[in-house]
Amino acid sequence: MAPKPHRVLLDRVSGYADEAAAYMRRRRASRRPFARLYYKGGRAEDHAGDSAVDGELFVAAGRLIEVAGKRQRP
Amino acid sequence: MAPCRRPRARSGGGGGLWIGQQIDGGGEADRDHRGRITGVAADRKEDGGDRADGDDGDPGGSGQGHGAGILAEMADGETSGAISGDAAEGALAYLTEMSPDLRGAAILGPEGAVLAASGHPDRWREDAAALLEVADRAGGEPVEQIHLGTEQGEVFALRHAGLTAVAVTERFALASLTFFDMRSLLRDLVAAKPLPTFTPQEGGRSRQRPRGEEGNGA
Repeated sequence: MAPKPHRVLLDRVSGYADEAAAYMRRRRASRRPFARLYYKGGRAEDHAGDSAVDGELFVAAGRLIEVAGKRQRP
Repeated sequence: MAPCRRPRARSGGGGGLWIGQQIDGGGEADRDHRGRITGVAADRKEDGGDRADGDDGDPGGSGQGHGAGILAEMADGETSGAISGDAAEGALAYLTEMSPDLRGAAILGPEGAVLAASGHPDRWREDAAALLEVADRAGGEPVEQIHLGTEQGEVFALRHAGLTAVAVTERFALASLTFFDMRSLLRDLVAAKPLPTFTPQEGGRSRQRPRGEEGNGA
């Protein structure tokens, strides 16, 4: 039996809302700053926390990004 | 968000590219590359066979066999000769050509001096030194690779054989490929192999390709 028309509409709207929420969730996660340090032997550390050293890392990275400037598109 | 596409060529032997390598060189480039790597390992084994000398006491010189041992020894070695500024400039131009996401980069010598940079050398030296100093302090030991991502861009730094490469890219650049390119760059600089200019083969994607070669197939 075919579903009632208003249910089709509701399902579609809620489907779009779910997609949008997932997109925003992914976007938020991918835009989060991160810092990974790799050492000899393959050891790696994540430094995206709120410690003072982590903050210094991001400040130093910001300066380098500033020095590099914007990309010159051909 | 579309992923970044990077024009690059891969050799079949898995050895990657180095400065001046012909992009579509068939088997010739691979054979040459393997010979070069083997030669480096052989040289090191010859002059560093006596581990008690003290100059090879790093973790990578643990007497491992070929394969991973070769890379480990190469990674831990220090560059013996001075790297010329021209070679570093050529290497940097090559990296810029290979990485469309790259905004700027610099190559630093063993003492932290800038060998080549895509902008203000003094600022690159100061800011790269600051980043490396903080990174070393953060982990309690010298860091080998750094990868930082912010909303404004991403920063990559790599130490190899006493040299340091620092690169700033657009957001969402492919990290492993960027590190691969940077490592290849430093390896070739250490091996004194680089050419000062990027010379693509016909069929390559370089914008420097002469116009006359583009219509040959018609």
